[in-house]
Amino acid sequence: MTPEDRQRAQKFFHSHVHRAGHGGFAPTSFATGYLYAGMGWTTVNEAAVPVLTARHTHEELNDVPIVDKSCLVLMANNEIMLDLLEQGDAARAKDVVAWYVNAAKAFGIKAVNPGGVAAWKRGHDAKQLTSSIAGYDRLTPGEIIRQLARMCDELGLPHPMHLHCNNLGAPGNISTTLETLKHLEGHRAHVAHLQYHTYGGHDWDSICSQSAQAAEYINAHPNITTDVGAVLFGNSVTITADGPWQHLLYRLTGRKWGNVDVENETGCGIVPYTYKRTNLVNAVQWAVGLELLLLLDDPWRVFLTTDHPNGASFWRYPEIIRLLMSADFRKECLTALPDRIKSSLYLPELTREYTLYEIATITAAGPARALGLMRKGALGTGSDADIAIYDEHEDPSQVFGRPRFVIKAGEVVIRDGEILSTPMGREFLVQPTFDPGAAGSLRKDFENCYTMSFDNYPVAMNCLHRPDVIDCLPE
Amino acid sequence: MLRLVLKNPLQVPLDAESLSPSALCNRTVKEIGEIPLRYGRRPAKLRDFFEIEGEPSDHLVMEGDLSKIRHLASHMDGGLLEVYGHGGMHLGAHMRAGTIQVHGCVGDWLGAEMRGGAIHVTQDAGNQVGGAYRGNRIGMNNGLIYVGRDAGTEVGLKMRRGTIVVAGRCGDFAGLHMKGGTIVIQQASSSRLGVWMRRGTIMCLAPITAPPSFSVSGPYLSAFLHVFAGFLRSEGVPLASCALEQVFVRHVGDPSIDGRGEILIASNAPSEP
Repeated sequence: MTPEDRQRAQKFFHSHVHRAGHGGFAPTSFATGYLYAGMGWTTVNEAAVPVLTARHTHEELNDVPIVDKSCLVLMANNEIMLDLLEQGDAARAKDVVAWYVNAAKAFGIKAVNPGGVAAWKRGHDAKQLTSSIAGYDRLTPGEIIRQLARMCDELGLPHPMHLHCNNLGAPGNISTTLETLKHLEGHRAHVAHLQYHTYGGHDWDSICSQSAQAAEYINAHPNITTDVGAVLFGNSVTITADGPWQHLLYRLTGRKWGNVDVENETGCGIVPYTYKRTNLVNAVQWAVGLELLLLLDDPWRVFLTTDHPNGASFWRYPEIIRLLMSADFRKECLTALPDRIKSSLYLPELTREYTLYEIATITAAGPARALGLMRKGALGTGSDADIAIYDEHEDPSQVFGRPRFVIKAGEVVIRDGEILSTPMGREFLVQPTFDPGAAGSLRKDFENCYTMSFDNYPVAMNCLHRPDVIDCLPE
Repeated sequence: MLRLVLKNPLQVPLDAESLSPSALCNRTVKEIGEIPLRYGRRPAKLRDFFEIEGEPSDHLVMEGDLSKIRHLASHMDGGLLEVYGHGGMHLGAHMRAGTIQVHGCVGDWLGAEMRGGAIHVTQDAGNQVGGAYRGNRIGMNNGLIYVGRDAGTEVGLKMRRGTIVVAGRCGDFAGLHMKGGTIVIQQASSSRLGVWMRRGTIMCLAPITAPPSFSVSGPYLSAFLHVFAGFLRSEGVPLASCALEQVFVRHVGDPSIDGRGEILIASNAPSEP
């Protein structure tokens, strides 16, 4: 989709230690491991995988060296599950979801634009949480969200539902986001790339930041964790299961575009995009990402992400860390934004500066806790010996862009930016229990709906290098 | 003048992105010998492959069969490079200024996405002369490329400005996605000329059939051609003298993308008033 990026991207030449590849906004699989480890990251989570293509995901994850991995499967637009919820059979829907998670060898559940992608296949979207979804009489996005959050809790998945809310990217979508959060009361949930869901205004000209409203709600509700999905200016490529949004983005940009209908499970879209300082919407997006990180009080519940590769590539995290640790640098960057938007932002008034401890929390300890990986993100007895050691430098982006040492499972893998070895990491998965009768009814549905046979569908355990099953703790 | 003479034939591609007159002129001979290159997948040094003669200057002469050297003089921004032998792929890609003269053939992507300067090739060129790399929206954006014999497919792919003159024939799809600039083809060429062109001019000095989507807008006689030939001669590009005596038929297109480019095809028909 973006071959032009290969020319300007960071190149990894073949050596006796590592494979050839390139960085850029969508790095190759091997380079992904080198780049994450090169910043000191030693565990990564692929957040959106259709079950139908999970085998391929594991093949790619097997080619991501050094780091430990996990993946979440897309469930909120799976039409077999939606049909069961429509019929009011929530218990069987939970068994089906558990079967899918087992079949995909996944670590948890991702919900992307619940109901919206299914509706898009009928030419609609789902922007109102309480309106029924196109093709269904009673089922609403709000009901899908509530049921999936309940299922994650009841199945005892270590990571709660990972939610990409409805109405992403649209001016005024803060109302949808707050309504979504209210649907989640009583359940754990992780709200992904919150930055894309906290806009005010009525149209693209009046778009403004509503990060304070979102932060106020989340600060008061400890059942929610979130990652910001911060935006940095420059080229990127947007990739999401939110098919309707990608079609809209294509119509806005007129650039290259791809949309995929993943049978009856989900959708997908890819649109290259350039975030520009001079663009009003992009400037608001850049500011909102930082505002959320600065307005959310508890570093254990807000995490540093760029919604890779949508907001920016993950290897640009050190640039965001510099913005968080230096109010003066933020002020300097703000001067380059269009004057007319500064009044609609909270960022100019925020003077908070992250400490090193807080950076360690939002990048390592917090995400590990939210994912339920108890051996990660901590230095102590029983923890994995995954350690990054940094030199001091006045510029935080230099510090976090080039660790002095990176130690993975007790082995020094990177020293002064040089890759010394590339051991294969583990892959985490869960195996929630389900009623075996669910598989029997699914076999019939597969014969009617799927292009793949039921017996070929589940990913075999031997498709994973070094699988590591994390226990579920059902309620 | 600095001479680099290839010692032995190359077995696998040698990536020489860092080699150009402007990149070498401020270095000592010893430093030039230490310049890192990649030979296949292995790191190597320039002195492993070339005898280095003369003094560093912005006049670089390279001798030998360089057809396996990739990216030679890419990003060049001044000086003169003379190649006695064949050149490889991506020669002069992204160049901004200066002159490259190749006394032989060259590979694909000659002058791809160049922004200025001039490239003269005495023999054949490969595909995508002056083209845009896959995924990019703009190819050659200024400068001049002259190919002494034939060129491959997709000459001037997505070019926006500048001039390409092919003294022989072009392969299919010359001027594909063209956005501006001028392509001159002196001998009868293959089909699908100028498809999806938005603007710009393709001149064929020998009869050829325009794509069916193009519409004929009539005979074309213009003083422009005399001026243009003068410009090309000043750049050292020979244009057949009979070119000026031809009558052209002007075809406009490509309407399938609402383009307003033109293909001027020489006709032996008598001119009309």
